[in-house]
Amino acid sequence: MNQTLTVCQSLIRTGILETFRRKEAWVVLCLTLLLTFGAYTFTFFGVNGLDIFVKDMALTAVGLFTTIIGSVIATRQIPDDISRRTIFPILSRPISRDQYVIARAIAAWVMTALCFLMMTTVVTLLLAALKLSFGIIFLQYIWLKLMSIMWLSAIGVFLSVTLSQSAAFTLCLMLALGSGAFSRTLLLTVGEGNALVNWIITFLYGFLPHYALFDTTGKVIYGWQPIPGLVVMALTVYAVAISGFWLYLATRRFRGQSL
Amino acid sequence: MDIIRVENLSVHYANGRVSHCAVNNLSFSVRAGEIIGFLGNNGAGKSSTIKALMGFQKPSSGTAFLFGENINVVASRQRVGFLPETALYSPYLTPRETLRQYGELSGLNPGEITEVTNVVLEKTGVLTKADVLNRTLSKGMLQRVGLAQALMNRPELLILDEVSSGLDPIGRRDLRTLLLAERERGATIFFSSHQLSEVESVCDRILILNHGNLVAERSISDIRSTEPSLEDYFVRVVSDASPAETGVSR
Repeated sequence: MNQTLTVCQSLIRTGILETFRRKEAWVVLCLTLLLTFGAYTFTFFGVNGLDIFVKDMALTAVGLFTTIIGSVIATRQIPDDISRRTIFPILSRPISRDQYVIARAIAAWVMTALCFLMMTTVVTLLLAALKLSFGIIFLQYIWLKLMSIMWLSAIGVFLSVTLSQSAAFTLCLMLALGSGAFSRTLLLTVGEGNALVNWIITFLYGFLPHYALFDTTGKVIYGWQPIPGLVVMALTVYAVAISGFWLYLATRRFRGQSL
Repeated sequence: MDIIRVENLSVHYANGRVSHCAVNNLSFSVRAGEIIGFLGNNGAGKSSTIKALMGFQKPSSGTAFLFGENINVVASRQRVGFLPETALYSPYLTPRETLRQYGELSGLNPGEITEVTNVVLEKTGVLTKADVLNRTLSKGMLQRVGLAQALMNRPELLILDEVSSGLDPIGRRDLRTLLLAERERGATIFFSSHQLSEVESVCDRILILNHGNLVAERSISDIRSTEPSLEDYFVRVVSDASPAETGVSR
């Protein structure tokens, strides 16, 4: 366990350095700020009552860029090591492949979480400067987003050891952005078929990703009351369990792979 | 004690329904303190053997041991320093940061990392470029960074794949000095190279692989006394050996 933490710490530290030196985080931060401020500029032309529009634009940008950057980071961790051949000196250390995969996934989670928190902080400060603020539910939004990033990192790492890097990125993004549509479609079909079909649909519903479940953007924008603690706890347990499941599959897949 | 022991090792690559034999029933051992040159043409199976030794490639049959421990045991790599063939270390890190990472992965504490990093940077001639990004370094300098990371854990066994790749004449001379110094320190060295003059000047023994088969295993002193040069001997052995040959010339 201690060794896994040491490996995680080392990969996270270098991963963060790389992410910021690649300048991707700065680019999405600038885009988020531009979009948010761009939405606010309508007030300069005499359009009033744009609070919800500006907040929506800000949180949609944060959510979308977090999903994109999270998918990029998670799906490139291991393929980058393989293509640069740096996986060899890493695994030539007394580190198991399982430890390596887990450490890469945790590193992807932490790096994406940092990018998300950075965007959230800057957007909140910008909105505060524009005299706009969020309710207490915003804290739940942040927590649930962090949980969804955990899921995104785990599935991204799993896909990256299963498919090519570009295919893994595309599928990861599709699963994340399309998860709401999948869930709604499946729910609509429940009860329409026989018992077997219903069982398959229920199984698929449980198995397929539910990234959209963690998204409380709408509630934050419209200033809803906080979600019950039990729901947040259930979502946290679900995120940990589903991330563990994808990570287990990733370690199983990577264990026997020739490098 | 055998530091490396390889027993009937075979490595096959499957490409659809076709299976290609990269290493065929290979057996050899390396004793403590030896410097072994692992030679062969491109595609002879050197890198596949090294990958199998390091646990990167699952052998089709046979097994190998490092320090008496099966290669499947992660701890068998505790005392090994490994240099892969032409690795491109992260372009967004500096050599010092790269070495720090490998030091941490080797289980060194921060004090040890700082101390060892400066020593290996000096030894490998990277000290002057220690704080610039890897992406600005030449191929030869990156190879030196690779050597430096292999030395981070003060290894008792160095396994180096195509060690002189990308090095200029001065780099190759420095490499020879480094390998001899590592042997003085007590390390055992197993390396593959196409630079026969370098192999001749530092190795105690050579293994020649051809089409996955071990076709020669001789000491350098023996070759010097009976052959015009290592190059002549290598060319003769590899030309004489047919793809199906498994006999070992000693």
